[in-house]
Amino acid sequence: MTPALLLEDAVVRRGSAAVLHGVGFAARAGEVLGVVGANGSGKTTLLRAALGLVRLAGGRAELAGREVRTLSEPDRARLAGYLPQDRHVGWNMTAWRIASLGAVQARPAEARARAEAALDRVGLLALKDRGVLEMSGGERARVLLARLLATNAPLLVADEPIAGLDPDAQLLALDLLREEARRGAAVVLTLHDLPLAARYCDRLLVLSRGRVLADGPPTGALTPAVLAEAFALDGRLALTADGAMLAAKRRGGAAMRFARWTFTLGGVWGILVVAPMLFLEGWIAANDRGPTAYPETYYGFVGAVLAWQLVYLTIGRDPARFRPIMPLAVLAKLGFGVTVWLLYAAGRTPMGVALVASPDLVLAALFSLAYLRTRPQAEA
Amino acid sequence: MRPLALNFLLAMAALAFAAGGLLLGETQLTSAQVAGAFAEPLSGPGVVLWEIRLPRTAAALVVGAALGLAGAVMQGLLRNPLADPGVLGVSGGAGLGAALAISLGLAATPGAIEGAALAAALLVGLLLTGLAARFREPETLILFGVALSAFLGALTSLVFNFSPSPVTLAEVFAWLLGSVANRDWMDIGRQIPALAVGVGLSIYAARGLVMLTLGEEAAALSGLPMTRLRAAAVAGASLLTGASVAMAGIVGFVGLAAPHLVRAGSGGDPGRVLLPSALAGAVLLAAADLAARLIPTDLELKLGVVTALFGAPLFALIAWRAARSWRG
Repeated sequence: MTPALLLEDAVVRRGSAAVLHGVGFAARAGEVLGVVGANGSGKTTLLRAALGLVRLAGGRAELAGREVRTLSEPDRARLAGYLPQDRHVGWNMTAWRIASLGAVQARPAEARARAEAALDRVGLLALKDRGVLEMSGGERARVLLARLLATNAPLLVADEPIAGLDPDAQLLALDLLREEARRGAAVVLTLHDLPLAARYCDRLLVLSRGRVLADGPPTGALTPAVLAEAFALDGRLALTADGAMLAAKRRGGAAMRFARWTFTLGGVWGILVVAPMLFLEGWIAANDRGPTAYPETYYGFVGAVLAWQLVYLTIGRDPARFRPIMPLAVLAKLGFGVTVWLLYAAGRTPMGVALVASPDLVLAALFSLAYLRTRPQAEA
Repeated sequence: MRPLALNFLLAMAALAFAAGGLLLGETQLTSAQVAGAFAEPLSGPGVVLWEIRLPRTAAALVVGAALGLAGAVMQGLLRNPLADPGVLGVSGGAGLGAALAISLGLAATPGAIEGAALAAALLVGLLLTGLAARFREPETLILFGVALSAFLGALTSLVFNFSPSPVTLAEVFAWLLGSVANRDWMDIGRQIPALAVGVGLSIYAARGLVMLTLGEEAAALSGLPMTRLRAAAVAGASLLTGASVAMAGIVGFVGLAAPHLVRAGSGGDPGRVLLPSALAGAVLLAAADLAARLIPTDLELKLGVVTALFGAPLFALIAWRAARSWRG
């Protein structure tokens, strides 16, 4: 079956920076697809790219098998309805007029009937003659949802449809979108409430920094590793008889900042000071003691140190990404420092080398303390 | 108030002011004389009526309606209650065209000033239409318009600067102040084609303006040909403004105020506000022209001065109220 919406290897740039790095997904009829991710992970851009509202720097976007760029404006509207995140309404039009804008291509009488039916579904039929700027933000959001429902489009794309709604209205909005999927529409929505996402969506697409981190059924997509990577959360999504529950805590931000500069500083120090020093030692050893000495050991050591420092620099650029291997990296840092001192103790290296390698040791030790302090408990 | 009743009331008010414009004036005529003059265009009162008062009143109504409509289109397009034809530089362009024509000594050539004003307004309108197609955000268009307005104002000052004689200077200045005095039927007739096209484009663009209420993105997926509708709105408003400036010089604040006076009565709908805005514009300008004629001064008050005198405080009031209810 042709997906209602297909995005392939989509690249979107803002200025020189990429907002989406080769993202792909498909939305099928009868399915509710939730797009989740931290602020700035590219959710809205993903929806806009799929609907042809932003230019793709690479990849393709299709609606019902037709490339979105080649669709005329009326054709595109027949294939997809869109509820933007921005709920600003320019003028104080009545609720039913706003809702009827979803059916702008229908005859006026039919548009009005569809608008009123949709307002009834969002529970605002009684307020149909009220101006939308005289409503509360939540009521206005429901009117805009009614406009989306009035499109009767085979694909409904809603950007944060439940943001700012009271709990009852949140469930109502999600129920309505589910109903739309049941009648055969493909529904794509973004939301921040992970338990609700897990409860209402058939499938979740987890975005992180413009990339798809996971795509699958909610429990499969929101694993502890994905929670950590995409949301910097420590914990898990627990399924209970009453629905899903998020048992998680924030990861310590201070530890990450500390990690950033210890790893960067350590890497720079290692490359500029430790490695040349070791190289010098090897060179002196080779020249002082002749070919019987062990310069190769030193040179090999220098190579290993250089490679290792590059790993540190990479971690330092974005420590949050390397969260899972962080304890290992810190251990390796500590291990290196200790090894050098052990070598000194065994008389295999002068004290200067050991001293030069020591700042790394100290930073790693401090970092371990900071990391342990902010490490959340295993389960909430 | 129901839109139909609103339109009817406005039309009645416009007629009342127009009747006032026909009955009152420097030459005292009784209403019986005026009634008789309709039948006898060649009599003394007939000449006053047919050659002076009727064209003047008609020009006031037409210019007011065009400005009111252009203002409503601009406000709908830019989703901004403070937009008016002057904001995007169309009036500025028309003013520059006229100033150039006058200082080049074309004032004696019939239709030259008007032609230059309309042509310059069209050029600005063309530029804006291109920008409107290229940039979706109303804020961008407003920024370009403000820059364009300032630049055209500077060019007009340059024309003043190099103006050959004080007489020319006074002429340009008087023209820029705006007036519908001493207009003949030809002055009105020459602008009819531009006005007709402008009205047509505005009506065509109306459903696009309604959709823009929801914002650019929702409108882009509404199924309406938004690029074309947006271009039509800019082009239509430019034509209406250009033609009205060509007919009466620069008359400020009518385009800003007219849509505001009728917005609440038309359900806030930026499409349904067009007709009442045009009618309200006609009422406002007919009233302002009547005021200009009736306020006893040594030199007759210029229309643009009257509208600015009443319009500027109104603008402040609107800004005050808008600031309180901004963005809902």
